[in-house]
Amino acid sequence: MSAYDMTGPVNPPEGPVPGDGEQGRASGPVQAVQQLGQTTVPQTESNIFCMTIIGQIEGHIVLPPQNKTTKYEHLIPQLAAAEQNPKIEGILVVLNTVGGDVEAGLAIAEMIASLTKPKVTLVLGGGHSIGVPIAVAGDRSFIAETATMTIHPIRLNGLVIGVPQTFEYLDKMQERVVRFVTSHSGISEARFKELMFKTGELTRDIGTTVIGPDAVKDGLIDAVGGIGDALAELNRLIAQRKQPAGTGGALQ
Amino acid sequence: MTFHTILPLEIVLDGIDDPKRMRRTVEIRTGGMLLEVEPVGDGCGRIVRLLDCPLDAYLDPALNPGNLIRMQP
Repeated sequence: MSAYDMTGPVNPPEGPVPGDGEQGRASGPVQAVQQLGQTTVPQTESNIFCMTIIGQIEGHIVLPPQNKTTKYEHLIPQLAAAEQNPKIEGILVVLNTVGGDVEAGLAIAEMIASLTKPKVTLVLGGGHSIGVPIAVAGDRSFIAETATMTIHPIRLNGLVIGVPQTFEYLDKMQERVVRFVTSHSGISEARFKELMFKTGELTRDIGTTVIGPDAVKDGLIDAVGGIGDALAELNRLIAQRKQPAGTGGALQ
Repeated sequence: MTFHTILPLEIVLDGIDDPKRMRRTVEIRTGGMLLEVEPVGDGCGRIVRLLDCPLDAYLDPALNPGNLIRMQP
């Protein structure tokens, strides 16, 4: 049963258990542990749904098990469920990803951007490659001071045909990422491409690694902050959304 | 399929052609849901993905991919 289902949180059997005495008045989670032997206690309901995007973003190909993966086919309906569930009022997206499949990454980013509920993103550790569009997809984005984002071109892989069309295709794929990032953040296209094609920064690639405050300086991310700042901002956006129209409350 | 990642592809895709290293999964129906799970022994399975379930099941942390569940005998 879902912690967010329409019947509310999982409840232990009603009424005190015979011979239970004092324990009959114990709180729900404690009862669950005592009576059901569950170590996973029922979740306290929150009006915020936290989504984590960790490791490789797995797309059309199932990756070998040495990869820690985020599966897009789980995240997409999860976002649909969060949008639909009336108990969820805001979505917090926490990223620590090395990138992954372009299609899957952009699909997740588009899903997050098109949610009508307030959504805030937080980059912890790293939000690299295709993690960059996801990091900027929220209404407001945060990056931890030590977190990094690697901005670099999409590489060719698989069957490569040495014709000009191959380069054009790759350029088109890259343009999708550039367009999404520049339209959902404060960075200009020229600056983003400058970071993407910079030489001498990365050892095995061209591109740039931007660290927390640099990402903010370039307008890629809105602010440097941690979980407290991200949650405070999300709660502010939720409160703003609840204000009736005409009292200064604007949607997002 | 195009990868955009900072990890070298030889590391990401290492073992993809080796069927012994790739997951062997089965489909089980439990609690009115159809799940794809990877048997790990002792009657337990690791959830790989949800195939058919109510929408709210995706919000249940216990049904996240990677979680262990008890498989029916």
